[in-house]
Amino acid sequence: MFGKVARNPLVSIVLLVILIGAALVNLVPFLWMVSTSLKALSKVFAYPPEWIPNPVVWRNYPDALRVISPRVFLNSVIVSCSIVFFQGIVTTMGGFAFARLRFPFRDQLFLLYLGTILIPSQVTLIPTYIVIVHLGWVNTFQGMVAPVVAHGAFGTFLFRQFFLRIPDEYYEAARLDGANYWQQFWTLTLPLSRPVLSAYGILTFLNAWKLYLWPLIVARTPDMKVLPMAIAELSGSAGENRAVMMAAVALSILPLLVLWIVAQKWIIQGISSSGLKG
Amino acid sequence: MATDASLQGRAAVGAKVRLTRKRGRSDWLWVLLFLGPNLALFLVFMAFPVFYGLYMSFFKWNVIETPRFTGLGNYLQFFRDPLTPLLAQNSLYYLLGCVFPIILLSLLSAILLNSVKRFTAFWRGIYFLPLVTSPVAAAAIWRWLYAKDNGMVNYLVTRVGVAPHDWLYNTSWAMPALIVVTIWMALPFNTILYLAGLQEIPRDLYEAAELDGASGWQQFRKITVPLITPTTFFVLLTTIVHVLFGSFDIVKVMTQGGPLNATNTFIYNIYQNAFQFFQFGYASAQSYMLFIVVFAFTLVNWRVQKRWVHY
Repeated sequence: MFGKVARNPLVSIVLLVILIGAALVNLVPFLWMVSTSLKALSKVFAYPPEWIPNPVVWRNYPDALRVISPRVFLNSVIVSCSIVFFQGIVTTMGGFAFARLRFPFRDQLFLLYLGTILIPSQVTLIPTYIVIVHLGWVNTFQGMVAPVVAHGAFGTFLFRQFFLRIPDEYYEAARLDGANYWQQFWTLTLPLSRPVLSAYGILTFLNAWKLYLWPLIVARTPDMKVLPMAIAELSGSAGENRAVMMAAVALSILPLLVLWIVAQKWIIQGISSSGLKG
Repeated sequence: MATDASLQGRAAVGAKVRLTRKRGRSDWLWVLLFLGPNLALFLVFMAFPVFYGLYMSFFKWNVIETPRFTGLGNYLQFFRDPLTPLLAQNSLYYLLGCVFPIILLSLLSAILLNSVKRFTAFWRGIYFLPLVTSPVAAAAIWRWLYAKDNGMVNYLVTRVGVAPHDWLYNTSWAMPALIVVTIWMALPFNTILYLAGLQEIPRDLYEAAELDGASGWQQFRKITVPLITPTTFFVLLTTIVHVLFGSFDIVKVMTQGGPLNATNTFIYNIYQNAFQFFQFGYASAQSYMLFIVVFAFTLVNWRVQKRWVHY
């Protein structure tokens, strides 16, 4: 199991016990969520807790969908995809400008821009809300998306670093072929950046899907709710049915879980190879 | 011949200068095209709010009345507010309670995962699983685990002979309960960072140490810990910001700052003041005080990193 790290069988067993123990700590909340979500209401509060639901109540899931409506799901999809799309455009173009275009004070401007990562979003929270109010964007998708897209300094940094590593010769060749900057960006730089693009896109999607505070402030009407808002409301309500509640949480996690299983390799690569780790 | 060559050279230089100048001028359009969207968003939603927030903090600013200039009034109120020391204490408790276990446990998880030689993808998949939960979803699941009468946590602790508690409604247990959830959520991301850091430590160092008869513990102390310090530094900086500012979701869903403000932190209180009590001016002043503290801490961290970070 541990190769030559632990040749001593005793050490090996101890490590295995720790490995499994820690894995259980990670898994138990999820297993308990799934187990609860399939229970009859009368069995939810059984004590001592029962792990295997009997009978299995699938109906909790359609019931959960009635509480967190398809509309809420759709909103989450719209908001998350818009954030990924617009932040993708803005950060790649910005990264290209800082890496490949020449203009005075370019690097100073970049450093200043990068420094904004240190500004916690809570400092800008209240004035940003005032801006949204003045733009008339309260309770709109653009109000939810635009300020989040604006916090793209990290992505711009990421793409700049990556674009700088593309050999100059490629750009020389493209210029000789008469490619202007847009063509160099669109047909040369972006295709070469596919791995970092997909990693950043997936990470951005994960984070966008989890957003709670900002949508909570911008949304006013129930038809503008996103998933975390619906879950939070449900979780606080008095007549909360634990089984349906857990089914709702499971449903809200499901898209990320699928994305995670499909794209785990890229996400880990994205986090670890992106120059993100200091 | 010589003059000819130099003339040619000069002509070439001249042409080049003209070329770059011409390109230089039209470059501005490209700069505008590529940087424009970024710059516009940055100005409207970052630069302007940073200064506008400072401006607001000097006003008594609520929704009903027109804003009234109060000078340093909000800041004086900040220092006089009886809640401030409690919020500071809670925020610090939460921060320290999260940051050190996160660093230690994610390093240990990374070492463990790094030494697993079989079913690597399977173990990693399990260890990284909490990454897919939003703070709100995690908080909802854990609220159920922490439930007083039939919660899983109480079931488990009574099995090992500890008295059951109403974890989230007990002034001394609510904060540790939130800290556990935060750590649980933060581990995967930091474990991935540490895994990446571990892969950069040259393997022959360990081989040499092994030849010299160093034990596993000695290798950990003398090789892994010092050589992983750049990652630790990064984890420390980002975790502070994530934990402090990400605490909102978990506090809001699990305790709403209660019981009796036992889990009320600055982040949550700023939200309450601004969006529940509509004291935008005072909340802005609070945000700025928090910003100053975090900024000062980051600066200190940068300055002392030379002492313990080995690049």
